[in-house]
Parts: sequence; C-alpha cells; structure tokens
Amino acid sequence: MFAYVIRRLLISVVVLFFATIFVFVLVAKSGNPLALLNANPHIPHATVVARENLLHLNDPLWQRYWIWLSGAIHGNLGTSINGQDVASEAMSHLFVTLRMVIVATVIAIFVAIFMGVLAAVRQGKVTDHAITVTNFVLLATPIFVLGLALKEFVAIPINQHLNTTIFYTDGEQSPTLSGSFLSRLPAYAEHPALPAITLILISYASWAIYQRSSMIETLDADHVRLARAKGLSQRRVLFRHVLRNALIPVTTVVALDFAAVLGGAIITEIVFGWQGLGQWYLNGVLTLDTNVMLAYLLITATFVILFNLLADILYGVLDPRIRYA
Amino acid sequence: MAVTGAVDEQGSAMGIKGLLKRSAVAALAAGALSLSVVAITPSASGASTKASSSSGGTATMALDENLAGFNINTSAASEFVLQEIMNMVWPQAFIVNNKLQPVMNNQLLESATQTSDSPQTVVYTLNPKAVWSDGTPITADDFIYNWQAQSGNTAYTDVGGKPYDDASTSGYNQIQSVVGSNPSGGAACAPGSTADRNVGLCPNGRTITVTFKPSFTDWRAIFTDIVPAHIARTVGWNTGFVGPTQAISGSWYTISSYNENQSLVLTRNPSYWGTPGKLNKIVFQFFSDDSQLVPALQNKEINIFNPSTVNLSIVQTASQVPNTTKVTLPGLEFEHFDFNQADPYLAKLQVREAIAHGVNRQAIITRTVGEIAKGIAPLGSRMLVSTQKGYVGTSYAYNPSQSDNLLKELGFKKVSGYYQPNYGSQKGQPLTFTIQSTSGNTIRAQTEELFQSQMKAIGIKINIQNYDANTFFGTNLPTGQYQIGEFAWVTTPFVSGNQPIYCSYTSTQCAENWTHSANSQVDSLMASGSAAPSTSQEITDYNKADAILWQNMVTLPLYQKPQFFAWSNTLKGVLPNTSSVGVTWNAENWTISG
Amino acid sequence: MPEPAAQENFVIQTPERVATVEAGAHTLAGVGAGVELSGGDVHGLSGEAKSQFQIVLNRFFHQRLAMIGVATFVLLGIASIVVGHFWQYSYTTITNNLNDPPSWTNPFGTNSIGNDMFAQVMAGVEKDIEIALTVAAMATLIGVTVGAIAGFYRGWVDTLLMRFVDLVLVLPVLAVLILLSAKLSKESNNWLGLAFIIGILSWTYVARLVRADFLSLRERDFVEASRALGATNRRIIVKHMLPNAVGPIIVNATLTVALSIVFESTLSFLGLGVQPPAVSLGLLVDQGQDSATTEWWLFVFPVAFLIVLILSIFLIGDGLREAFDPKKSRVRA
Repeated sequence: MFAYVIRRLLISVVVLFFATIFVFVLVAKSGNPLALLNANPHIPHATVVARENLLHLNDPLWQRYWIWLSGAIHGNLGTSINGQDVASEAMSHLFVTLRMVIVATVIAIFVAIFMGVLAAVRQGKVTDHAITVTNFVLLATPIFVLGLALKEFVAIPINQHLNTTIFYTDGEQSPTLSGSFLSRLPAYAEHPALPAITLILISYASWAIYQRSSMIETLDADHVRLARAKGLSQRRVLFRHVLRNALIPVTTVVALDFAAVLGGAIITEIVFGWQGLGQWYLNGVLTLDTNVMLAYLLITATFVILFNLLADILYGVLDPRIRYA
Repeated sequence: MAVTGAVDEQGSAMGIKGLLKRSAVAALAAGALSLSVVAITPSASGASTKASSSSGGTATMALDENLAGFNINTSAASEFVLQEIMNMVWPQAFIVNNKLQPVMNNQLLESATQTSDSPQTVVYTLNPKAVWSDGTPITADDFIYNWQAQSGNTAYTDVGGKPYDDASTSGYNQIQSVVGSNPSGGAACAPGSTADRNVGLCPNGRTITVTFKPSFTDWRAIFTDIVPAHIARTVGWNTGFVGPTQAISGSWYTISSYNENQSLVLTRNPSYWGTPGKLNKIVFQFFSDDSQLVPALQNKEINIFNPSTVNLSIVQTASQVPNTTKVTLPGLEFEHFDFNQADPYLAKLQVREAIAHGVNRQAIITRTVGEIAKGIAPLGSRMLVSTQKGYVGTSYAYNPSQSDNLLKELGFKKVSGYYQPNYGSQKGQPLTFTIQSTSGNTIRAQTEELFQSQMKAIGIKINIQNYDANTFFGTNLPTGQYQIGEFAWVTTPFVSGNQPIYCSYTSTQCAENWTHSANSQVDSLMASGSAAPSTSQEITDYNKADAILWQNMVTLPLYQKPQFFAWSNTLKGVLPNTSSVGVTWNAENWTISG
Repeated sequence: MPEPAAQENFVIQTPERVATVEAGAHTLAGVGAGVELSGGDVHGLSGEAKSQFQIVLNRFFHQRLAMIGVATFVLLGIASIVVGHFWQYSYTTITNNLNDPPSWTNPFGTNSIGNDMFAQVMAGVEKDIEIALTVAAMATLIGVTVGAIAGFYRGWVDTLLMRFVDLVLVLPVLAVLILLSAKLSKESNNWLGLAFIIGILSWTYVARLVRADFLSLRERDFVEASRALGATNRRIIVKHMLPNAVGPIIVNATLTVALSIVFESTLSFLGLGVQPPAVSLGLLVDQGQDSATTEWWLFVFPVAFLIVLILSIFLIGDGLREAFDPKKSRVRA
C-alpha cells in the first residue's frame, strides 16, 4: 500500500513537471504582457525595461523556466506582472475558493446519496422518475446558466419582495465586517448561500445518478437477496447490506470529480463575483500573467492528484477485498 | 489627477468584463499646455466647502477593478479605481471639480501662484498644520521627492538603485528645481541629506518654489497624489506601497483596512488638520463584473456606483431601483473610427470620404449608446468634446450617394453589389476592409456590425476581427497592423494633449499618430496654438487644425461615451465628475441618512 | 494480489463527467453506469453482427425518453438549417425594430441593434451543433486510435500514451480550455479553431475506454484465431476488435457532443469562445444576461434552447447506453 502510494505520487510529480513545461511554453509564446505599457508614449522607457527585467522577459525561454522552477521548489512562485507575490496571493484566493467548494461538496454528497437511495428504493415509481428527470435537467444546464438564473429569477425577486437582503449576489463577504470571528459568522454564512446552491445542484446530479444505479445493482446482489430471505427488516437490509456497498463507487467518483468541481468553481466565482482562485486565474490568463497561471495549475493539479490518490485508498478502505501490492 | 488623453482602455475589457477596464494612467503630453479655465479662488466649489458638523455614517461604493498596489503614480498600480480611493487619502494640490476645472485644495495649500513667466516659477505655500497621519509634517521634502521620482531623470533612483517606475513623467520632466523655504515656526532650514538628494533644498520648508524649463502652462495638473516621501524612501516607490501601513494618509480619510480584491475601508483621518470628512467611513467594495452592480445596489449592498463601461441593461435595470438617483453624463472619452493611411486603399482621400459619408452615425448612436442616454449627437470635433468650452462642431453628412460618386470618381466598378478597385492587390475583387477593436465589448461589437451593414449598402465589404486590449493597443495600433480601428480617445481640459495624436506621423514626437497622416498645416497650427499667449487663441488654432483633419478625413469621431452614476437617495452630496478623478472627488462632503 | 497499475482500468462514466480509476477494480467492474458491450462477441461475422446491431437498435427505439431526445435534436438541427436559409431575417439582418418583445414578425423579439432574436437563436443552435459534431468526430477519431494502439501493443507505447493522457487529466479541463482559447482569440475568430481546442482536450476519455476494452479483447480466442490465420495487426484491430468496442465508443461520442456544447457555451460566456458577429447560444446568454429581468427574451430563449439542446443529447446518450448494455443501468422504464 505504502509503496503503491509512493509510486503513484512519483508518477504524478513527473506528470506535473511536464504539465508545467507545457503551460510555460504555451504562455510564454502567447504574447508580451507589457505590450500595452510599451506602447504608451507617456511611460518612460526605463520603467518598461525595469518591469521587463523583473519578469525576466528578455531572458531565453529555458532560463525563464529554470528561474520559475527553482523558485517553485522552494515555495517561491515568483511575482505577478504587477509585482505582487504570487504565492501569498494564491493562498488568499485558495481560501476563498475552498470555503465555497468544501461546503458545497459536503452538502452535495449528502443530497446525492439521499436522492440516489430514494430513487433506487422507489425504482420505477413517480418519485424515481421525478428525481431522475430533475437530475438530467440539471446535468444539461451549464453552470453559468444555472448561476445566472438563480441570481436573476430567484435571489433578487425574493430580496425585493421581502425588501431585505436574504441572498447576497456578489462577493464572498460583506465589506463592513468587523468584530470577533463569532459575530462575523452569520455574514460568512450568508454570502456563500447562492454560489454554494449553484455548485450543489450542478454536482449532486451526476453523483445521484451513480448512487441510484449502484444501489440498484447492490439491491440485486446475492448477499442482499440472502439477507432478505433470512427475514431481516427492510430498513436493516438497506442500511447494513445495501448502502455500505453502494457507497463505494459514489465516494470514489466524488474524489475523482474534484477537478471538475474546481472547474465549475471558476464559473461560479465569476457569476457571483467571488475573488477566488478561478477568478484570479482568469485574470492571469487575460493579462498574460505567466506566474499566476502556473501557480493556479500547480495548485489545482496537486489537488487533483491528491484526490485521485484518495479515491484509490478509499477503495481499499471501503472494500476490504482490494489489497494493494 | 490623472489628466489627458491616451489610448482608451475604458471598456476594452477583453473577454471577461472587469479586466483592464479604465486606466488612470496619467498621460499628460509634453509641451506647453494651458488651462482652459482656471479658478483658484479658495471659495470655489467642492474642495473648499466647509462643513460645520460631522454627520457620521458609512457609505459603500462599488469599484469594478482590483488594485495592484497603492502608489497610483506607478505604471503598475495606476488605475482609475485607485484614483477614486486616493482622492481622499493622499494630498492633492489641485483637484478637478465636477465642472472639469482644477481647483486648489485650500486645506493643504494656503496659496499656489505663478510668480514669474520666464523662467516659469510657481510658489506653493503649505498649510503649516498639514501632517501625514503618522505625525510627520507635510513639507517641501514631499514635493522634492515626488518631483525627483517622476522626473524621468535616471540620476534619481528608487531604493536599491532601481529606476523609478512612473505612470507618467509629464510636467515633472520640465521642472528645473524644487526648493523649500520658510520652515514652520521660523525654524532654520534643515540641511538635507545626500542619501535623500535634498541637500540645500530646505526639505523642512513650508513654502515651495518650483521652476519649470521649458514652461509648463499646465502646472496645476501636477503634485496630485503626493506620495509620503519619508515612507517611500524606506519601502521603495516602485513596489513598497502594498497596503495601509505604507499608504498613510495626508488627507481626509485613512485606509483602515484592506481586504484584497474584496473591500477597502476608509475611516476619518484622526490627524487631519482641516475640516474633517462628514462620513465616518467610506467602504469600497470590489466587483469583478459590472453586471453585478445593479443587483448589489438593489440589495442595498452598495450605495453608489459608476461603472467603467455603461450598457443599456445597467441603465434600464438601475432605472427600476427605487429611491435612487441616476445620472448619465457625456464623458470625456469619444469613440471613433481610425483609418490607417498606410493601407493603399485607405491612403486615397476619396475612399476615406466615401466610408465617412456612408456611415450613418446617428443610426449607430440610436441603436447603441443612444438607448443609454438620450440626446447623444454625432461628435463634431477631435480636439474638444461638446461639454467643453471652446467646442466647435463640424457636421459631416450621412450621404451614401456621395459615397457612390466618390468611388466611381476613382474608377472603381460596382460588380454584384460591391465596388472593385482598379489597382493593387484587390484589383477586380470587392473592396474589402477589416475593422478591429477590443473583444468582449458589446457596444463595440454592435457598432462594428452596424458599420458592416452600412458599408455593405454603399458597396464596401467589411470583415470584423477583434483582439484583446493588449494585442490591439499594444501591438496592432502602434505597429500599423490594422486598416480600420474602433476605439476611444480621452480628451482633457487641456487641448494641447491632442498634439501627439494628430501631428505628422513622421515626427518622433507624434508617437500616438497611428493613422500615418501627415499635414504641415496641422503641425504648424497645433505648434502655434501650444505657444499661444491665451487659451482662447490656443483653442482657435486647434479648432482650425481640426477643420483640416475633417477635410482630410483622418479619423471619424462618433460620439462621446456616456458615463453613468447611480446612488441611493440616502447618500447626499454626490456631484458626478466625468474627469479621471472620478465621482469621489468631493467624497469628504458626502453624508448618509437612514 | 497483482499490482493495481498492471490491471485493467476501471472506467466509470456519467453523462457529465467520465472518470477513470486506475486501481484493483475488477470486483467493481460493471457496477454503476459502466458501459461494456455485453451479449456475445461479434467475431467479425457479418450476419451475427447485424443481428446484434438490430437488437441494440430495437432496444434503443423502445425507449420513450431517448426517442424524445432524438426527435428534439433532429428537430432543432433541421429547424436551425431551415431558419438559416428560409426565415425572412438572417441573424446578421439589422431590422428597424429595436428591443421589441416577441411578436408575429419577430417571434423571439429583437435586440438593441435590431437583430431578430429568432434568427440569432437558431444560428446559435446551428453553430453549437456544428462545433459539437466536429469536436465529437475529432475526439472519437483521436481517442479510438490512441486507445487502440495503446491497448493492442501495450508496453512502452501504452505507457507513453497513457502518461500523456494523465497529463491532460491532471489539469482541470476548463482551466486549460480557457488558456488555449485566450491564446486562440488573439489569432482568429474561427469556430473551427475553437472546435479544435475542445477536441484536443476531449479525446482522452475515449482513449482510456478503448484501451481498457482492447486490453481484455486481445486475450480473447477470436483474436488469437485471427492471428493464427495470419491476419495483420491492422486488420485485427479494425476488423475484429473495434466492432466489439463500438458500443462504448458510440455512447461516449454522444456524450462528447453534449459536453462540447457545455464547454463551448461556457467559453463563449467568458468571451473566449465564438466571437461576434458570429453567434452561439453561450454568447447570446452572455449578451442577454444583463437583460434577464428587463428584456427577458434576450436571455430566456437562448437559455431554454441551450438546455433543451444539451438535454436532448444526454437523453440520446443515455438511451444508447441502455440499448448497448441493458443489464447495467436501468435508469427508467
């Protein structure tokens, strides 16, 4: 098991290394981030040269990559185009994103399991059909459409109707927050509501479909039939024998889906104006900010790798029949 | 006070709204500038209005761009949104009021007078009580440092010997010397230090004598956003101002907290020596997308906003928000079509005229910005906008049959709806041009589509190809890789800022003439205007130059971009300001109720 | 126990996402919504293959929701072409009706410059379908080729190709798409370019799927038999193995169509996809979002068509999966 994890990690590091080269070359070839500055006749030439030197723009490509890599190994992700420290910026944005993603993922898992189990137990009945159709419609809705619709047609009308702000449509927190952490908690809770609902609705649907089919599969399994035949109560069969086995695939899928959730978070952050990692990355892409882009991809790729590994390990834990050499 | 016209970046957001929007890069063109109107009386409106009581409360304003540091005088941090904050934080010798006139800040300065014309000498007298929020007095040293840092003179360097990063050196680069005198309380002049490069300049003086050579008629435009010299010398001008600790206050409000990309809170500066600001707090909330502004106002998350690009939806949705004041004003930016005469077909005057006569500017306005603000008319000048004094509008008729005649005159033949040139690479093919602009801007995209359909009507084929702002402004325009461009120029109260845009491209001074136009008459008119003894004479000369530019159809001005301001009625004292200082120019006088 | 990495890949998929687990998963294989063609081998015998195909088709046609999906998709496709050619307005026509609500002349209203929204929405549908089909064709072609080569030859070819797949999978697809399309948007407005970059990132799922199938198929008797009869590798792959993997490939291709519409519309929403004056549904949603509560028709119609279009393809995909593999996920009656 341990050797397996190490091996997987090593492979991932190599993959990650190549991914950074790929991104670096792509970005470096995308254009000069200081072109606008350079074209402005009112900015002294010395200013432009100094900025270029700061970003190593005049160095050869491989040298620039080496500068980045040797810094990255020591946790120094360089500076953004405007001279900000990328590593510390990334951390503050990551915190914002995780606040939304973790809350949403945890809730979505519970919703998915509940919906999936309910649909499986009621297989073929109205409840099943209603849940399944809802899931499919949600799957077919791009996340930005869902976010916009919730904002424009649900949140704002409700706020207007009640003449007070129930749903915050922009930003991750109120600007005037002051006082202790505890007194700020309600405000922390208010802002994520809408983006979290969006992420939950988008994420849960596919998981619920898994959960349902894996439940149905397990309900048919021999040991479950046996348990039923022994006369165990429906409830006991469901929880002791079915759910436990049916949870394995869905848990794994959630872990594996993390990359997609992070992708969805980019859009959610844009729709709801959260200054998270995705929004930051997008700014970086549009301003040709190499270090920002690399930092984002490094962070998300690390998460994806860790979660994939977690999925593998979860397999082993949830299904004792699997052993790792 | 970031003045004058350079490349517009307003609304050039590529892709994502909210990026690269409005830049306050102070782009004051070199040359002798003169103010159109000057009011230095201390009782002038705005900055000098006294308030007897402080009323308290908090106002929240939306800003739609993120900050990249706090030293607004650097190219990295120079942004419109930062200007809106620093208006209330850093000392401003003059501030442009809502009538677009520079007004002396009579709490910082007791006087600012030009005492001699040759050499041009300006004497500033500081209020002896003026101090930075850390207790350090505001003195001649701050003026000396701000001049040196923005002089463009490589002899002066930032910490670590690095060259200064400046958003603009205009004005400062014409300063010969800055010398202090009269330290407060009759104290002796400090000798100054070699390290600080102020030896013998009496850095502790409260009277500052600034000598310009050559003359800089526009001297009121400088010594705005004065950076605290004692801090800058320690932390560094270029990258040292990263937060409230360094960006200390020398004005009404002080930055009490900054949450990157989220919010910035201004509270009353306890060390302020003059009339305190009326609000207890001004909160700036950062928005990534303009479309979120109205919902936020509706939800009472903000009290005021001034989007960097206004669109119909913002205006319409805002109009449905009750208890709100909405103001639309013609701004200082004007949209135009830019014709690159390096192109063999656009080099022909008749082709440019045919295009210009074929553009129904009123129809474009009606279908785009006209819905945002009623009564916008086609702009008749490149030098001044209709809201400025001295504006002379030239009318240029929409006349498609005239376009027909012009193209026929050239010997172009109309075949299946399109004219075919009789020379060059397009010989025997439909006359085709590509129009470029910044991507992700709906109004520009719509304008291009309307232009395309209007050109089709007169037999010219138009392709549309948009680029991100970096490529468009940074590469395509300056290197001449375009045929027709659509973008905006920003005019200023100072008409001579137009010189580098329209003087003959062959001169190195005319770095912003991307159209490859050259006309000696235009050159001499603008030169004589800039040296004119009176403002009215200067404007007359520039207007004459503009008339020639119309005859040569160098560019086709379309309309002044409207600016939109909306604030809840609980917020009082707001006076919208279309200049680059923004609506917060008098935020110290704002009050809030309820 | 054998080392997990040496085992077959376990492929799970949902309409929205396809995830691959490289682990000792044989005990779980087939759980969930996994796709594998069951019910006999094709063996390259035309008669049997035909009947097999008919069975699948028959199953497919007997699913109500899948049929609704097919009908909707076909209807949308035809309508978009018909409207493009025969409707009184083209999507570029500039009418004199500005910001008009839906009426008989402009069933979906008009926007602020006077474009007919019906023509615009239908042009958007057409563009979306064009892009999506291009992406699916491209992704399937690359994916099947890579997967087949990796699965058939194994060894270092397999390792190299699969590590490359890992490289693509380790980064959030949307993030890489944003990066590529931002670069693309500097160079051209061409929708083919957009389809190309989406395709470049979409083939990995199919590749993994085909590889997994091939790894098991190559051990089968009929492959051995063909080889003994002197068939070339190429013939074995194309004639004997591919027909056996066709189920999952088709299902995946369908889902790729749906996914690429999601990607395209998301990129267009971000301003990095289809550029005006061309239209796509995502772009229309982006342009209409600010008007959601005022000129609702600028927002509601593109949104509705976008969702219906994607949904119809999901339903087809789900129906196909069930038709190919009735035992697995009985999603509905």
